[in-house]
Amino acid sequence: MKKLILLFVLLLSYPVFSQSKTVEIDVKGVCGMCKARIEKAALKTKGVKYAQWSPETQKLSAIIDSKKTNIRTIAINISAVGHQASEFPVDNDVYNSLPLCCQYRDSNAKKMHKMDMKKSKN
Amino acid sequence: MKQDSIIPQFLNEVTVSKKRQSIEKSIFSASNTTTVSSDELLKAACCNLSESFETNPSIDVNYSDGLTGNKQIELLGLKSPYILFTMENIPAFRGSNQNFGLSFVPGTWVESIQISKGSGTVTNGYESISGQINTELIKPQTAPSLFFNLFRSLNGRNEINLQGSKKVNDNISSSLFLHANNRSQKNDKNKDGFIDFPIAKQINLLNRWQYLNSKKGIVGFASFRFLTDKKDIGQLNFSPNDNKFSESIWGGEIDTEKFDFSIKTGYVNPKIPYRSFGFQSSINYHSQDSYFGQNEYKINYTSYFNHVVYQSIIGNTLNKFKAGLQYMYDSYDEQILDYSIKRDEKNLGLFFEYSYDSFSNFNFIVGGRVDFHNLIGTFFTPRVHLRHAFFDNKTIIRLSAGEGRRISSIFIENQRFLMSKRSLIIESISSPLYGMKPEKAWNYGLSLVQKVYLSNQLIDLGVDFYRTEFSNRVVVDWENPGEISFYNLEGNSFSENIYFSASSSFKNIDLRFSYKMFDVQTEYKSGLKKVPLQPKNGWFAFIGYSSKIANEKQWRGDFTLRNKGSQRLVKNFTEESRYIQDFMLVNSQITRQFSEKFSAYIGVENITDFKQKNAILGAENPFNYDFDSSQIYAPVFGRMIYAGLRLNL
Repeated sequence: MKKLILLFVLLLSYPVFSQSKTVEIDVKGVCGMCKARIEKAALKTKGVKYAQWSPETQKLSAIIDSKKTNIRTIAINISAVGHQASEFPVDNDVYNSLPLCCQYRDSNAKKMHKMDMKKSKN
Repeated sequence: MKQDSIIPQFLNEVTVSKKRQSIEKSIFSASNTTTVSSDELLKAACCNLSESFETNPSIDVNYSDGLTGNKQIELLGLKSPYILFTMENIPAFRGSNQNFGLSFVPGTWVESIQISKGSGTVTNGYESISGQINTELIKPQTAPSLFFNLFRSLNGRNEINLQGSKKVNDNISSSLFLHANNRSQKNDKNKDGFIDFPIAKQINLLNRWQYLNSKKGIVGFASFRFLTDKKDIGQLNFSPNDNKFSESIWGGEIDTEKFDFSIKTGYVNPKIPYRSFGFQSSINYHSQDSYFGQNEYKINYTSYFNHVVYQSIIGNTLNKFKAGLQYMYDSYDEQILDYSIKRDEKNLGLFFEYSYDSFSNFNFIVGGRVDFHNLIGTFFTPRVHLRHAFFDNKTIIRLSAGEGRRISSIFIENQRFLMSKRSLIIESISSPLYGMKPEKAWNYGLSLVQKVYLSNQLIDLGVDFYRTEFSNRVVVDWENPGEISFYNLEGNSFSENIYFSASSSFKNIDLRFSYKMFDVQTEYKSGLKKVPLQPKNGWFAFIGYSSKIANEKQWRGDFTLRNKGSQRLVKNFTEESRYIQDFMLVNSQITRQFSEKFSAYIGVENITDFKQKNAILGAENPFNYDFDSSQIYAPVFGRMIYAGLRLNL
């Protein structure tokens, strides 16, 4: 039983030792569906521990292990799934394959989303 | 702070452009969980937690006996002892609270209820077998500053709720909830000479303090709770002062006192939002002093609970884990008939739960815990939940499996036998655990949710299949008239449940429908049999209406039909074991909201006035060998009309 408790304590203290840094990246998108796609792309990047994208600020905030990754790598990975991150361009075919509500270059998508938000408040 | 929220954080910000349903099946969690919101709880206007499930399709409500009016709930064909109840994630209604505990929580205190079918998570304990039900109370931070509720039913039940909350400063808020109820009127609508509902009095107090500092990421609660409850049961002319233990007039008293204290703290470093730490501690004291005719039953129960949990990630937030430890101490001191029985349970549990979420269509939770229990020994409990979604979350498949164990407090859970002339048969009552083995079962489940659009109208369809299989169980055998025996299972004991559901809401109307089939069997000394008082099947239909709110004014109404299928009754002195016909119970309620602050409601329970005939066997002479009020399959009391008002300032 003592061994088990020791193992437990070790397990609990393990994550404290890794190095963390918070970064912010501009990412274009519209709605909750985009949010899941953007955050998933960020999290799939090795070294990204936590990612949260806000549709209001159009910014992704991430906690990363600075030894394993950097802003550039994350931004490239997000652009690769269709959402423009920093200055990294998005391939037109990838952009066109996004669901209509996520096509952030189209002002109609944004309008539709805003109308939805208003409805939900009523 | 909901520690067990396994819904990814991003969900909190998704815009939902439809109004939320008041009973909502979760779409994203790996477990089969339904959340019941406070809007839904208003539909069951009366009165306490045991009555909050009347409009819920997946839970069955039964009367536990013919005298106390006590209700017991059931999930997947198993009664409440097999469900793990938690109150804000602290195990509740355990030990001596098992029988009446739910009726000691006023409905107006409740913020929401989460119902999880199947084996549940390892983080709350090893005890859940058929499911887990968590109740969240109204939080001091968000509670209205003053709430007042009055309730009266025509059969003489009066309830009053007074709830005040105050923000002491930016971080600290406090609530004081007071509940009192009484019933002084004696009713005997079925003319059997016994009062249908007890003469009752209850005072229930809750004082809560909440500390919230979102800059530092600290949240904390401290709660004090005190309850005193008194019930008199028995024949119409019974008077507790003159006829206690009388040999000519049958009656009884149940006096309960309860004191609880709990603290909870949680810490999240705002810079590292994926890592959190939680600590919970509670002390509960409960005593029941009671007698039923000449049968005495007393219990003093103390329990102490400590829980530490650490939550973090492995690599990234797609991979999360929870790890922690739990210490429980339960002390029972029982006096039943001429026996005096003491039992102390001590348990240390270590748990670890890993969850993976693909952020799109696949997630799972795998958990295990090791417990060191002074009476059960050392044992491992594994549990797994898996979810896969298809077609943009229109189809969701879930699988779950897990083991659960528990020690059955046989007298608390079956105290209704004391309200009969049944004699107790048990081999070695004074050996540890009354000579019974700890109960042990596996639960397996498969569920499917399908969203269907019929001309733009969303319909939620669901099918569940669950099987619970016991390898150890305390068999409660009512099969021989005049006897109750307890013994260890030798052979099979299982519960199978198939559940179909459909729900939809269009415009101002909510519709719910469900159909259930049960196969619940146990090996008795007399052979493998269907468990008595368990419907073979049943259906449920609900229709709710709410008008458009104009000038804060609104009409709301609902109508619930509950069909209970054929149940097996055990043999008695005049009849062989037989199946009774199915029957239906109908409830309805109408609420008028006059303004956001004031609303009034009236309702009827059991509109068709359905009553069990001969609910109390041998009621003519309760001192005769054939007296038995423990075999209840339908309401004893018929139609019940009530009215109430709510003031929210």
